[in-house]
Amino acid sequence: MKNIIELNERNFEQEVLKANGTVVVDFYAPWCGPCKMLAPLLDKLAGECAGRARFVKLNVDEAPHLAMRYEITGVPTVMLFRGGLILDTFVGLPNPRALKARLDELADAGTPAAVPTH
Amino acid sequence: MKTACELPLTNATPDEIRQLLATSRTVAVIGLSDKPERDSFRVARYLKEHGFRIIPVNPNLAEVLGDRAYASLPDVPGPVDIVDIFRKPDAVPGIVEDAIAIGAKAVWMQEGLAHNAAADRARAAGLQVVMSKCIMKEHRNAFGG
Repeated sequence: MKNIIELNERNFEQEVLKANGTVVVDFYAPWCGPCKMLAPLLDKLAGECAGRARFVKLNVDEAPHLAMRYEITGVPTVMLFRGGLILDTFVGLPNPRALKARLDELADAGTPAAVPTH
Repeated sequence: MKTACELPLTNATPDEIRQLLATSRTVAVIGLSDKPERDSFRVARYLKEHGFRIIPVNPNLAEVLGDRAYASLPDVPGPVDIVDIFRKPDAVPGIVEDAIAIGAKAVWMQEGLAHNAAADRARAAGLQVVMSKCIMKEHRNAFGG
């Protein structure tokens, strides 16, 4: 997946919470069928959104503390972060068009104050 | 179509897993395949090679790895320590009820398989629960081999 960077528990804060702009985080597990279906869709979306949002992924099996912190109860879970805060959470396979529409909306809105959902 | 995979909300600790494996001898392998390329077959073979007695549970097979297969857990004669599950999540609650009924010590859901409600039910009945972990990998991690 050329457009999506793999993160871990050590660099999550730097790459997501302290990052500028919108970051799309794919919480996934390597054994999860729906996660495998989502991966190419997200990669395509990442290409389309280049310059407007960064796409990263995190293997929950190797990041149990983050999975607990963000209350990940199922995978895939896609979270949109900005300014260290969660803008949106999609549990299960998200509709790529809905995700794209939300990212377009965020890009058009500039950098609004994010609303924490937790 | 399944759109999400459940994750364990709580799980056995590495120490608990090590202790469970060290004190168990009989493993009923639910959904064991007779195809050597399947994970269930490789895991059951590994367990046999490492001193466990395996009991295949699969209504479609008569025998796997030289051991007689049983159609379901209640058909298994004698005590079972670990009920190791290679089935889809919707089959888990029924298997947990069977595991409780036969007095199994633990329910083990293989890598990628978790069912928190069924796990709660098993724990409430006094069984240990391991979710979304491969018993072969955990045995290797704990004891080498």
